[in-house]
Amino acid sequence: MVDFENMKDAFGSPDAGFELAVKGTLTHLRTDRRVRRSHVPLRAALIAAIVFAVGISALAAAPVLAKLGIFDFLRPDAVVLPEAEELIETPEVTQSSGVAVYDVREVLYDGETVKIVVAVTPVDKNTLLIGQESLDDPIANLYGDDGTPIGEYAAARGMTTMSCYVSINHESAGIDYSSVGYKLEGDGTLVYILSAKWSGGEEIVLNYGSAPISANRDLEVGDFTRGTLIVPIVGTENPTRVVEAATVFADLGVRVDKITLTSTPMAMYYRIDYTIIDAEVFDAFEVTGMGASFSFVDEDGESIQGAPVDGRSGRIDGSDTLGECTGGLPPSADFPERVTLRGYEAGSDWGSKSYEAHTFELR
Amino acid sequence: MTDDTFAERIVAMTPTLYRVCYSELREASDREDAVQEALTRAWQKRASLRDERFMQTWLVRILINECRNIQRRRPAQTLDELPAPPPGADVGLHDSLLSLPDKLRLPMVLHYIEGYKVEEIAKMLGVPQGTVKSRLYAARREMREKLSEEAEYTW
Repeated sequence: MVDFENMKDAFGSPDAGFELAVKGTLTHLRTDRRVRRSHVPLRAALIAAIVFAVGISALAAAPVLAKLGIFDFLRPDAVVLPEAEELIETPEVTQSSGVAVYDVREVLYDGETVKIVVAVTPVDKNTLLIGQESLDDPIANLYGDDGTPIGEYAAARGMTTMSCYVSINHESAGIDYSSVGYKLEGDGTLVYILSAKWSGGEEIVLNYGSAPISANRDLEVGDFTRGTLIVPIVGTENPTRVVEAATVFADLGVRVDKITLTSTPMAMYYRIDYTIIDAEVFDAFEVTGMGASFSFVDEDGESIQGAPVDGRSGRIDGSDTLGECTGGLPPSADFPERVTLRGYEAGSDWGSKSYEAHTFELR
Repeated sequence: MTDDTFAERIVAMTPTLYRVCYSELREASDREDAVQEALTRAWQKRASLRDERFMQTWLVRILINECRNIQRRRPAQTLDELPAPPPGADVGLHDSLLSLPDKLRLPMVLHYIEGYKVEEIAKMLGVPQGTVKSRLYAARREMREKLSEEAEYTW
């Protein structure tokens, strides 16, 4: 007999990974810590750090003639060296799907992270581009400053709406993890910022697509016209500093074996290699949420922020005992003479518990 | 609504969130990514939730969007075989639901598993109520055909 009760059994119960994703995310959000990707439960392939900066007000306040570039998408607290501007390339990569033109506006690869800005311009200027799939979520999706759902905004002005996307093909060689965000320019151009940790190569493949959204109350998305953009990437070499160590963080159940710093105009990237020496202690952090991690701290013991790069922490794929923690510090022309690492429980309140801190000489 | 209450209600919704994700995404890692992104968005937008009574519908709607965003970024796939049912799943129901076309499956899950009304599903999916009803009708018909040889399934 099929009824509500046994229909609930169709997909079983939430698996441990899913429950961990829910609780870990909530823990992170409630403590308002910077997102730090853990190997569990999140896959490193695609991180959709959507920037909800779509602004009806921006469109209404036209003309806004400035063309958005890579640095317009950096976090407000982000700092980069002036040399970062010299890394920006403007390859001539443009394609038209017939209803929209996809133009690679800027590319920046600092040897560690690639950032690409793609401008999507509708052929019909009376088209409002939507970075999401549809308009069916007026509460959470696309509110403007005046609280008007974007669908109503478009309809009131006789505009048609079109869904579009641009994303990094995560099957591309060398892609570790990626994120995407977008903003709407004053002339109706939807500008995407794509960012990925990338280990190098000569080109990156982007996927794009667009589909009309019906004007009736169905607001259904039609068939997507899809395509790819091949973006050439200019490689670069960076100085690195490696420190071998054997420092035990007993609170985390790990031993830090090596710290690698790589200096670029965008960030002082770091990679911390560690060995899990007490699995019971280490695994306890996995149970509570986002796992154990490290942060570089300043002289006051405060976590150093301000690099426009993402990071992650957790076991290295396929290993029970080896782990890594990656991320970035604000860029600097010189390597620091010493750094202090503090262990912490990712997703926890930074000040709620006191974990060990150790200083490493980098001379 | 306090942050604690908001979080507690989300945790209580975990089975519903899981089933919605399972209906839309085959890979466990994709389901985890979807729910994380949905919760992040919901958290950022929680102040815009005008009526707490609609929180569940609101969050499911956000989650559906995230699932579809992930689907859209994936290369087109042809699935010749259904995934193995997870532990504790009813194999017949699992396979028959996953065999449904995407457009039919989600209304079925939302109505018959999650208990949402046609009106609520219409708002979640952004389609008219009549469309939901017709999709439910078509889904029931297809599932009935798939399950007709198994005596324990009756409608």
